[in-house]
Amino acid sequence: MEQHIVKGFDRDLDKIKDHINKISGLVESQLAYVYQSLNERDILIAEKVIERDKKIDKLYQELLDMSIQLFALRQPLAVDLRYVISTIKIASDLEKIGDQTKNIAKASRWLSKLPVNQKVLSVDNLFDIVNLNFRKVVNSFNEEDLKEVKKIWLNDAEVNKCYDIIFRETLTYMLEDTKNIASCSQIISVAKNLERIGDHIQNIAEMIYYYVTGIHITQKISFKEMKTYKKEKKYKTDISNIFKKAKLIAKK
Amino acid sequence: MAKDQIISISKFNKLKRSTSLKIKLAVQNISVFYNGKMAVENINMNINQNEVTALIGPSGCGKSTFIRCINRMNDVIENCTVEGKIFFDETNIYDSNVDVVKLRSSIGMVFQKPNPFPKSIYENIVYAPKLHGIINSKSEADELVEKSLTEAGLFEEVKDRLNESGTGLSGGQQQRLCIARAIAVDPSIILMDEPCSSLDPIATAVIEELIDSLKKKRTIIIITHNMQQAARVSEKTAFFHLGKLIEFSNTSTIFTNPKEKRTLGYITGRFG
Repeated sequence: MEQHIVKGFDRDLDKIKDHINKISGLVESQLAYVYQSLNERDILIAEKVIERDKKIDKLYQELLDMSIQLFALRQPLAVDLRYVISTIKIASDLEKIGDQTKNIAKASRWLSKLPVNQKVLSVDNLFDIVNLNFRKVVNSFNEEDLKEVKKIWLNDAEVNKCYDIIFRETLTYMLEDTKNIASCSQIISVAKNLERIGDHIQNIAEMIYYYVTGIHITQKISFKEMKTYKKEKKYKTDISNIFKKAKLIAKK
Repeated sequence: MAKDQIISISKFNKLKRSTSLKIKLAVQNISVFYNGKMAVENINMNINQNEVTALIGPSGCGKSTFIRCINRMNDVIENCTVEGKIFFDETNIYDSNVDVVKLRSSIGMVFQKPNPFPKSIYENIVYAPKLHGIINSKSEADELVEKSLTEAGLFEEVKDRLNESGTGLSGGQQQRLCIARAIAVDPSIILMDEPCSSLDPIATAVIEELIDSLKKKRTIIIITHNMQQAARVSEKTAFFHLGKLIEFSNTSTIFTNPKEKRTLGYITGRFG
């Protein structure tokens, strides 16, 4: 894209982009730290994650101020208008991912206090998918890679599927032994927060697609792709089966 | 060919009768030359009735030259030739039998700088209707003055000083007086060439509000360099560049997602 005649306009837009990158960088490191705290049962790291969320909130507020100023001084139009609106929305999603990460850190703090012999299910797989999607969506924002954006959007079905598996597993464990309830309820909370992060990543992908093309991504997903996506995304857990299984366990 | 076009416009309007949208002006292959040099190249567009159409583009792109074709104002410019056709309610205004004076009473024009006659406010309004024989008595004139000034949103402000000079009004009031003068002969189209460029923001807002009320009865074509103004007042926007019509579409499309790269570059301030 050509530069604006008024160079200050480009500088303002660049500042917004830098800010988005700053927030996403911080969120990415928060995700890494919270994963470490979960794996290593490290309360200190969890506390650090909770504390650092304030930084994300502050950056988000700064970005809002910058955007308001840009609207007032530059009156952006067309792709510039879509860009500024989208970045506000993207920043809002990043800020919410920060909040979800903080929630995971709180659950991690809780889990760290459990006795070591207590069974704690792994959420590694879900973490990996969410982490990878997050990194991809941040790169796509900088590179405006629409193919990748579409893939990320569709990949949310995978996140949902993974969450569903964890949910089913934890329910089974809880029914097997009531001692597992304490840890499993926290695991469900972690998984639920990761699943929500997946939704925010999907929202970011939507906004990138919209500001680059001016078209909503859902209009560019074929009927076949959408059908597969919906089918995969559908909540599959049949709780009655788990109850039957639990009754059998109880009988034994 | 002209006959075919006329039929197609009437057919179109017939089809559109179910909705309120009708074509008021059909511009076909309009080109303008100054001393044989092309200034406007092959313009084709349809202007809808009771809509505001904004013409935007960098200086010297041919907007003013084009708008002057619509009421044949270019006829008075020496060495200026116009090719093509403009159908105004199914009559080609460039037909040899068209009465230009009558045409200009149907297609009024308001200019960049307010230009009231150095006469009283009252005289400014009744001057043209008298010439056209629209009014024959004092009571008719009084009625027309009140009606025109009211429609231009000026009556309440000047009703006690109708005999004072029009040039003594403020810039915004003078421009509204010019609009009142234009609508006194009841034109169905009003052409506006940057009507707010010499006005302050409040006077501009008043004119914009006036444009919004005028379009209920009339069709308006406005040239503006103010993007926000074009976005605020118009339903359709046409972007001109180097004498060509680059893009003509709904205003919301032009300002949010234009199809042409040159339109995007211009409205986002990347060239001009």
